Amino acid sequence: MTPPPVIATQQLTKQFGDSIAVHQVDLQVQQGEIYGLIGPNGAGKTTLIRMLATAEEPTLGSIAIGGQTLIQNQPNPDIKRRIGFLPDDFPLYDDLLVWDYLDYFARLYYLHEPELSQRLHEILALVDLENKRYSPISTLSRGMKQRLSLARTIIHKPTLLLLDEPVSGLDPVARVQFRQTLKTLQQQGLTIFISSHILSDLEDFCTSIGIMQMGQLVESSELRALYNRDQTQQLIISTMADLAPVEVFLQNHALVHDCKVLPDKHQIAVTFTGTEGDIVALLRSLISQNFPIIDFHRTQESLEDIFIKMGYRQTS
Amino acid sequence: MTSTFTNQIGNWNPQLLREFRGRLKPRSLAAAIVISLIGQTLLGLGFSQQTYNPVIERWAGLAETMTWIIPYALFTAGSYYLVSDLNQEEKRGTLNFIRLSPRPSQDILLGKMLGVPILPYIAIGLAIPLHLLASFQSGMPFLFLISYYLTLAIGSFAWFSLAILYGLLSSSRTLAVGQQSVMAVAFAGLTLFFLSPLYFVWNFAVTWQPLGFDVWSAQWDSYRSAPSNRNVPIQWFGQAINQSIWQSQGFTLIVLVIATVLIWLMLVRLFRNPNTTIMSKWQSYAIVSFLEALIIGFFVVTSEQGDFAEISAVTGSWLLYAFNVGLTIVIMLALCPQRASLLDWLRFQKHPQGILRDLVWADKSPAIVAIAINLVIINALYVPWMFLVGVGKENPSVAAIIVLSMTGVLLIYTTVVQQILALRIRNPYTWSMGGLGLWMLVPPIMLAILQIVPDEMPASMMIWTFLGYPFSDFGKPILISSALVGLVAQLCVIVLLVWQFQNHLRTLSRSQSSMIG
Repeated sequence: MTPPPVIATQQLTKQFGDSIAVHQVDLQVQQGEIYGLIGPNGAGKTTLIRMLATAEEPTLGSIAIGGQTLIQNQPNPDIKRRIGFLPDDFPLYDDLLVWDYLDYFARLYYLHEPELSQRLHEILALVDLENKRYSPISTLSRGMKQRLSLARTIIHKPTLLLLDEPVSGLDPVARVQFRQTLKTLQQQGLTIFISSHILSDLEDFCTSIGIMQMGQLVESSELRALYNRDQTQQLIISTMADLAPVEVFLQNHALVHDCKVLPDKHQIAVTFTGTEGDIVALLRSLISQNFPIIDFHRTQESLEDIFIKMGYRQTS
Repeated sequence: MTSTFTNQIGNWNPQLLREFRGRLKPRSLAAAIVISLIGQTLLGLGFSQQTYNPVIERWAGLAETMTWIIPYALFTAGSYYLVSDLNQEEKRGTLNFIRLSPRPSQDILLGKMLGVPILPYIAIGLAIPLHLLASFQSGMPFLFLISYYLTLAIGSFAWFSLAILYGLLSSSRTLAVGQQSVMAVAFAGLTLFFLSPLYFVWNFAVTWQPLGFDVWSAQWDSYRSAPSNRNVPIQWFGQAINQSIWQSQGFTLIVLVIATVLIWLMLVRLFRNPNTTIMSKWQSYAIVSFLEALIIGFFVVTSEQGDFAEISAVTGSWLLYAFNVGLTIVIMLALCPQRASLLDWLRFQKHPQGILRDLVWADKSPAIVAIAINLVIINALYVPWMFLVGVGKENPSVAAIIVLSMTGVLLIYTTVVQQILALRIRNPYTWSMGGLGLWMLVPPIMLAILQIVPDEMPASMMIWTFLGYPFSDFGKPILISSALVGLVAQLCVIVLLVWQFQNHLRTLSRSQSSMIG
């Protein structure tokens, strides 16, 4: 029997007064996925995440977490134990020490000694804050505070991690560190649902992508499937000699759709419609023509470009 | 990593441990201890200097002074700490994380109540030995001491529950204007100048009355009147409640326990969902039943309490009238859902559980029916009282006019307030409270200034009755018929307003279904 999806929503709708923030969203996220939710500001991402985190009650529709349906107006403690939620602002208690802060939340989630201390050490190592454990929270940098918040979010070993714009406001080094931590968590079996209005933040580690526009989930699919939707691929070729003969040769090739010289880079960009075998054959024929090839590689179109091609508004 | 004791506290209530860790810093702890000791030393010195008094009298002075100071200090400091802490948490947004944890709300709130004012608790706790010592030295009645601390504990629990409720409300509603520290200071001020004096007045009159404190206290004070004169029996539904130990303790404790349970029901619900109405509809029925029965009970007296019985017929009718109006207005503001909730409710009507059931019980439905039910509850006690004890005993038609005029005007208020809250305006609470205030005060003041009063112009009785102020001696028959016209006018206006509100809901409902599609 296949396990139930970690997140399954049906016709999920949230209305604030007269405006609809989330409109009839049917979402499914499977176990172990890193699901990236993209959309411009105000598209309803935060509201959707807050509903999944039980922080907001839906106006209509249902949410099931790990196969268990959320019951409105009830505390739902079992579901809450499975969820870790990190909102985009991460308020902390400045009067506590790092260790005491995590200890407090661990106890709120019913962790007891001796597992408690063991888990605290484990988690502090994961977010690289071991040497800060007896520091007051008020003395931490923004990046550290963010990592501490992440530690708080996963202290109780949730199966689902909900992150709302987690990298906004972080410097590049902190972003890299943060992504690394997320990858570690995914390897540990966590399902991660992450939102951002910047596509490039998510592209390199998400397994699935959803796009929200005006409260609606207009696209939701695996990343691989998205890339495969676009059958054309781009090849970059450069030679030690003149590019012109190569260009002529390529233009006569049956599978070359388009061919553009990039003079400043001394490269030719080729739009190619063949299979991987056809690419090998093309390289072989270039070599046999004695062109002095020094670079021949395939580039993937960025998700950004794919989405724009698919007719969605630019997401960043 | 942590000691066994700390660990046990943390396992039992993580919130309590968190408050201890955040607040019991060496410097703050030292400050609390030093303040307490300095206060005690100054008090002790003050009384020890009274060398013109015998030693036992000095002890008695110290004991009595501390008996007064401890509740004042505890209630005021404790409620200030709680309100200010909750406002701060709500403002920072940290409360949301606690809400997302699987711990029950009552654990968190109990942890807050026991932990947030820990410094005042310690400072006051350190003064208890001196209070006990002084009390024993001066022979203060032992039973009084037991009751004193028991009442203090339960009273603090009840009042701090209300402080938490106020803290949650004042931080999450637009109703509250101004700085969070202002809200905390306002509540502490209310505690200091209203609740604490009331606490003593009540307890000396009822709870501690049979425990001999008066006799003990009077022996040190030659100016005080003889204790027997002060022992006025206080009756509740004709039953004396301050004459025997069991009755006086029992009454106070039961009232406090019921009040605390009702507050906690509201607290748990509000903590889980801060955007909902202040109380649920069934909670309002329970609260109104409790308060109405509690208050009306004091107006039912037997002839033993002769003076009071005589004034109670007329004065009692109006005092209860004012209480009922005040209670209903508070419940109305607490119960009427705002526009967003009404829209949610309209949408759910696609799957109705029966519209009447919704109007009586459901949180987001309009509150008009629920207020009507609360008025039925109020009148279920007020009407019999009016006819058996109040003005209705002598003059049944006058009593009927008062009851109907009050009920009518409150229904009009409710419909208007609910209508205002359903509009798309900013600060609907401010508008409805402002509008209500103006409506309640301006017309009667204008009429009074213009001398359009029943005594001068009997026909004006219809306006006064319509406005909900059927104040007259009803000496002439024309006053009664004029009042009846006012009642009919009220009825017409109610029908019109309800009809108008229904139309408004229908329009909203249509716009909703076209939006969702």
